[in-house]
Amino acid sequence: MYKERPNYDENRKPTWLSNMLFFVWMCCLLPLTSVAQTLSVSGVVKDENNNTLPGVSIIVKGTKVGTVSDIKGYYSLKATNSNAILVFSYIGYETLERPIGGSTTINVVLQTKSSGLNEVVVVGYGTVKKGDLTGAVAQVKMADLEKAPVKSFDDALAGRLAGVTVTANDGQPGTVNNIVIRGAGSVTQDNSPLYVVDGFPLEDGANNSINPSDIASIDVLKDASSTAIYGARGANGVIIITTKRGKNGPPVISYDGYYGIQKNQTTQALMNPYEYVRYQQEVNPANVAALYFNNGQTLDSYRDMVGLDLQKQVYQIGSSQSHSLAIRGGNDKTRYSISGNVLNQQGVIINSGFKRYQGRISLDQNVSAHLKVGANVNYSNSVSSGTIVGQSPANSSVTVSLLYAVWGYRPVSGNGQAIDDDLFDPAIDANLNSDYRVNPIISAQNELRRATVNNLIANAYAEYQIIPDLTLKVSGGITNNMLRADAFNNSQTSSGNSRNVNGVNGSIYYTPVNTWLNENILTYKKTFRKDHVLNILGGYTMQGNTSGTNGYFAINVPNESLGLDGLDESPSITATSISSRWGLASFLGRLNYTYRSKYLLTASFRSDGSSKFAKGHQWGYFPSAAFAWRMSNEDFMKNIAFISDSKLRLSYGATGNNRVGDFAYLSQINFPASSVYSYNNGTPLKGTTLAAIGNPNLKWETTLQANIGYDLSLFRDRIGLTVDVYRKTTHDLLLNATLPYTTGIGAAFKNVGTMQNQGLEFTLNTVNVRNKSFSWSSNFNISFNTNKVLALTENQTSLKSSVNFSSGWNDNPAYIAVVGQPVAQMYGLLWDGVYQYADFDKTPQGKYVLKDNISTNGNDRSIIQPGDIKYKDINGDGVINSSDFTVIGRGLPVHTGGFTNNFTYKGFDLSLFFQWSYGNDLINANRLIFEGNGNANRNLNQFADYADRWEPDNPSNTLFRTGGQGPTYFSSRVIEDGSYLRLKTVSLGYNLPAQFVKALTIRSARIYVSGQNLCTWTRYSGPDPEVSVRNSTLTPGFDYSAYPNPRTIVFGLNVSF
Amino acid sequence: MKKKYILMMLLLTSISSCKKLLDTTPTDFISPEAYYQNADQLQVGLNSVYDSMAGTLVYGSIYPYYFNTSTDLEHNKTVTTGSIVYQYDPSDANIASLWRGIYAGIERDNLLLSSIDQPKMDETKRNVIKGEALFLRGYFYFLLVTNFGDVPLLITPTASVVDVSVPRTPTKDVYAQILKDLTAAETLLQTQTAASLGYSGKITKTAAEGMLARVCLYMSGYPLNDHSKYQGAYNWAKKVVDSKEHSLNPDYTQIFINYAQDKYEIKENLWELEYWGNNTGGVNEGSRYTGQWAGILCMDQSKGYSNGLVNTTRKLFDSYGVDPRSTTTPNKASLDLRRDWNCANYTWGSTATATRANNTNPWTMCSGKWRREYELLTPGDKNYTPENFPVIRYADVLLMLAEASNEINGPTQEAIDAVNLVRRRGWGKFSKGEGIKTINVIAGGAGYTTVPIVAITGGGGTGVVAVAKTTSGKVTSVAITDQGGGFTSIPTITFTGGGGAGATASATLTLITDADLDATQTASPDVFRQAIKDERGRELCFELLRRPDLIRWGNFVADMKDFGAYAKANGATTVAMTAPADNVAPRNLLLPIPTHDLSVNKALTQNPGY
Repeated sequence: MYKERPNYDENRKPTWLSNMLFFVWMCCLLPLTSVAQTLSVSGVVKDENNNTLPGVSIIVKGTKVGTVSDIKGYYSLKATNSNAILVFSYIGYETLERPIGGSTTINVVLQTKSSGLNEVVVVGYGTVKKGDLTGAVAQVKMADLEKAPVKSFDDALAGRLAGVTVTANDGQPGTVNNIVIRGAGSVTQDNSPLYVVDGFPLEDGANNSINPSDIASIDVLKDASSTAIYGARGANGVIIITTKRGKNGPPVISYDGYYGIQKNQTTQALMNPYEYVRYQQEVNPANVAALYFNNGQTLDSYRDMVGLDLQKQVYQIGSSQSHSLAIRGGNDKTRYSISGNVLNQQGVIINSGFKRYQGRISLDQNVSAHLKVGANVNYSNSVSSGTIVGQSPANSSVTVSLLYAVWGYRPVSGNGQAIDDDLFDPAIDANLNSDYRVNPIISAQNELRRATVNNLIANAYAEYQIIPDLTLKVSGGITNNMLRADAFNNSQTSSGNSRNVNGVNGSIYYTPVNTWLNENILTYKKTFRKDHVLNILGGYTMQGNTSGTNGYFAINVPNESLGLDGLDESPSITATSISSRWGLASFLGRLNYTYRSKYLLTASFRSDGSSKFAKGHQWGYFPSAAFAWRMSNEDFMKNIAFISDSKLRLSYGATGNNRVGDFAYLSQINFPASSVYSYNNGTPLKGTTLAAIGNPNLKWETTLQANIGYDLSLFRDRIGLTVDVYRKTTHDLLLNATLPYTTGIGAAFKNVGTMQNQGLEFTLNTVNVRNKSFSWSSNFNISFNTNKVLALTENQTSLKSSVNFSSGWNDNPAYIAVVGQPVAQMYGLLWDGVYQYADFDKTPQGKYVLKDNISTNGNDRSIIQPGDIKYKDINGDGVINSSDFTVIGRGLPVHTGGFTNNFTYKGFDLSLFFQWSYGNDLINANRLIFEGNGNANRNLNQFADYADRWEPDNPSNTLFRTGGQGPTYFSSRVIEDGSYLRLKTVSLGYNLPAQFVKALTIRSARIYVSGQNLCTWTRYSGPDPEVSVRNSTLTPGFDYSAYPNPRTIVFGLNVSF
Repeated sequence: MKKKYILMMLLLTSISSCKKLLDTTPTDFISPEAYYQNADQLQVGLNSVYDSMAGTLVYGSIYPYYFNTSTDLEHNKTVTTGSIVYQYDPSDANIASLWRGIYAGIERDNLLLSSIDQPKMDETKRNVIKGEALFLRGYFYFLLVTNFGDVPLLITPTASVVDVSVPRTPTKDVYAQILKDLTAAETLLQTQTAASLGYSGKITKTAAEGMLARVCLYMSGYPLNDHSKYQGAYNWAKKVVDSKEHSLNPDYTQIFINYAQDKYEIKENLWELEYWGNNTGGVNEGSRYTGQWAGILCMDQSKGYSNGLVNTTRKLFDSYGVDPRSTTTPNKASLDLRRDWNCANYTWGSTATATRANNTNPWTMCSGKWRREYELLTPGDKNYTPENFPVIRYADVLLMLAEASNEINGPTQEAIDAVNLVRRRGWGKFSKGEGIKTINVIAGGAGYTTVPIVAITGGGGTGVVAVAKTTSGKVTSVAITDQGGGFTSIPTITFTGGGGAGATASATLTLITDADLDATQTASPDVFRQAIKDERGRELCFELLRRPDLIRWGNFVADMKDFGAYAKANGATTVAMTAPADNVAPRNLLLPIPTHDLSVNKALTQNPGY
């Protein structure tokens, strides 16, 4: 945001920026001014728009002689001889070389760098110039990302990068997004990428602990050539996060703060009292007569009544505020950065939110000409609180979910009295129909759910130049992550009320995860005979991890007023105590060879030894190679003026995935509370449970990936295009493979199965307009990935997965992975509308009997009536059962992408970011319950559209009659297109005019208004298409009682002093 | 040079520490190889095998409810589709659960048995644990073979997860292993008896003997039809009887009240599965079946919640016969006290506060065997009860003895006596004793303007309700609506009140033999066989023996079809009542092998018809 350069005219005084640079360069040059003087050269440096450029560094190539341009762009220096070359360099501009050639006046025009082939890209264990890149690496435009008012970078990452799919489970405050790079490689194991934060590899990121405004760059390594250096952990891609460090110059104090609101975007339309009572009359006439038709009331009495809608009470206007303060600066020897952030989000559902206090210090010190040391410490304390709205119900009853109770709440009491004052609605008894709901508002206000995370990341390094071309970098670090999860359910909550045998209950669990790291890397850089550039890197690293969970769960807590502190008074406390550990030792090496910046070769190798496997299988070897041909440097293309860069990249390599239990190779027995037996009515005695059958032959899962990429840059980088095609095949999957139950266990880890992902990624950056006062630039990216399971275990042809939803449905798998097809597809019956009268024969007694040639719906033929739900009988046997299940939906999108447009006009800047997902389906399980009452609960309100259900005089073919829902099956009725286009981020800013800013003695100031999740175009009927409340590789896109993604609008201020 | 040395040092220290780094040891769990080192650890291993047997997947819920509540004696209240009513295919979740639960138990058992000789310990203790473990493995396989037919027979723990394809072993060979395990168990458990334990929740010598009788009886019937095994069944049953360890509880209802109240009846029960507590604090040791699904409908948790889903059939209700003198409507009283216990003639209603409501329709009566209203534990869990389940009772042993004996020698006195013993207990002969059978008017007297009170004095009994009838001032007859009990001698009958005088009457007592089978029922092996079958239904209904009994008797499908016709002709009105008989087909003699295993065990084959 400081990159906008003010325009200068001759009379203007230099701004802080040029001042600073001038100062720095003066400092640098002071000792050099005594060099012998032979030739005097001077001139003026200007930009393309004919503005003078102050602060440009001008140096005599190969010497330490140099100067900087003054405020009028003027420079002068003394060169040693007339053959010398002057090098003009300035941040944001292309470096220019000019031979003196005897001239005494050299005026130059510097070209702005737009995408910039000289920009540095962070890769594993080093950096590389973008132009020299051989692999597929995507770089986040931090300037765009920073415009989104989010708690962590992953909240704003979706749609930013081709090949990087980011999905939210739902909008629960504090949750971290699911990031999958180039499709899921593992079937049953975690597919999230490896995070490398300031060089520290973290298998489960620390996204919530990092302040997005501390991030200097995010680079995503996608192909095997770039990820193989991370060997056994590279197969899911690598996200490298580099935080801001101090720069040479006087202290810069910057403040970035915003405050705004969060708001729920959609509410469900529910039946009004008239429709509700009319519906209940059909569900249970006796019940309705008693509840609603007393005191002479009739159905008509409810006609114009306004109903109670608890959505108005459960949703609130939330708030979001963040304040970041940083001071950064430094000199030749020492560079420092100190920053802190306070963030507070109040959720759009009552009593929920996320809070964070975070601080970071980094220090870099040049100890001597050969030795550089540095350290970096980040600490954060974050608290996520509130009822977990989309969580899977522990007792597998949908009725405990928060939004179940909200949507299903009776809109009217029948006796004129309020029904939202007490926890229990007298008409709803948990004992009837297993309906456990209580007043969701009271419950949500009383429930304590608090996850406190204290996270410390501390790294230090020492870099020693052994000889000029050879550097040793030794670094080490720790990350300590301590999660404390508190839960307390007092008597006014859904799980702690008097109807529950556990009574008032609560739990405290601590989950510490500690990782240490040591890395020792040697880097050798040498240019031979001008044309041959060699960069060799070798090293070994060690990493160790310990983790655990300990805590306890207490029931029937006698004094609820004491809250968590009263848990110890419970007569029954269940303790948990778990610990585990792993170690990883690795040797790595990489060779980069460049010939005339034309032919680029990268070969890398990593060998990882992991404690997660048995001896003899611990070491895995992961080689890769890449070749790039920069044809724009070939003679035939050099002269094509409009081509700035043209590069073809090829890469192939092997990477691994280590996401398997720490001791999966061992058989395990344990003694859980569930495996006990009581003899003689005594307290149950412990029993052994076979928790896992070990597989001593377990080894690394290997992903082979081929990538072909092409980079094209036209018209001096005004158009930049990157296209990548890839195919990655994961072999010897670390599959939690289905075992015959005869083994005594349902699954064990085996290296079996194969999965393939292939795809196309396309990124286009354009500068559409760029002139003095107005600029417009765009970024468009789209990724296609197709996934295919090639093999599973033994002769298994499909793997079915259930989601924890509701007991009736849990027995029916909602998802299936079929060999030869994508890993996640929705599975169930094909819905065929509603039975109409024509499907029945009418008996003389006036009964309707289903015609023999019409299939049942899973119910017994004799009880099916007109208006019941109808399914397609795939096997034609006349009855519907699990043999008629088929694939009914697509879990994965055809393509995803994003489209960013940035405009500047004078001091104003506007950024519009659209993001989409196309072709994926969702299971809208809300409709199973609220569009036809799949569990046949009484006193349960329904969505408004169900008022238009099938009735004898309303032959609906979409909404079955009351009670016509049939057995608990998933069907294509509730599979919906989950495609969406979302205006994800809009930011409008104004840079206060320089004079005004100066008057306030500040360096720059920008005020802005920024919005997140502003508008969504979708055909999905649920609250939000960005949803996956039971998310896993096998079960994406399930929607039930999801916390809605809020719309956020904030007003903010960036200032630097 | 100095630099080089430093580098070398660094490298060397790192490589040596790297070896240590990769050598991690788990601290949170134990490998099976490292366990079973002492007597206590063997016992812990054994506990988990019992837990598998009693757990949700086997006896705790799946096996009883989904596979044993649709016979000619019982049906589900509401369910019209799915495994309960014989609608299942290989992908059925409940079938997979049952299979999984049993094999999980077998694996636990095999782990234990493979290490049983490992610890140095007291041999007697070892023998007991080994005996129990062998029994349980044998019984698991008995459940498998009776439900699935040929099954993979695994008697060592799973050695590898890579090679998991195991073919099915023929039924005959599975039975051979069962006999081997149970016989070995019986030998090892010579010192463990119900009396020595004081409770019946563990396998004892007589439990093994009783179970051997059952296994032999099943081998004698369908599908093996190995009639030579009748002798084995007889011998083992006889061994239980002769052990004098067991006798019938005098009061049939008390057996089940005891389950509700967590009391043991070591005489009646050879082995009961223990359920415990109210499923709080993560310990889920309750039963979903006893008293809950198979319980008296009640939505009031303070009374003992029950869904009341397992209902009786008229066939069961009518099988107990009626007291011909009874005048109650619509159902006459029965002299067989088991009827009104097994067929609950009331519910507690579907309201939050229990309200007793009579139910006179034998098609909708709840199974009354386990009654939560007797539970002592408070608060009780809504869905799970602490009520034990009897896997084998002494009454069953007596009836098996009779059945085997009849097949070998026809209706011997020993066999008849065994059946009659069960019947006498059912009629309350040991609990209520004898009552008044008739009151015969000797002299009518005169002048009775109203009906006089029939006074019964002496004889030692109580509880008789007798009503006189008068015509023209004379007492003409006395009707007995409750015969009372406890009479040891004939009481004196007098008439008081009614304005008249002079009426006299004499009483006759009921006889213990009233409950006995009559001569026609023991006239031939065939009729006696039928009598035993019927008696098993009356005595053992809801104890999960009916379906396997019908199958081993060899006429399951036809019996169910006959029942279906009977049901439709005798008041069965709902699909839930008739669906089981309608759906049953020859393939239902066996459950299908679950798809789950078929898809990952290349050596498996499917049962016919699936």
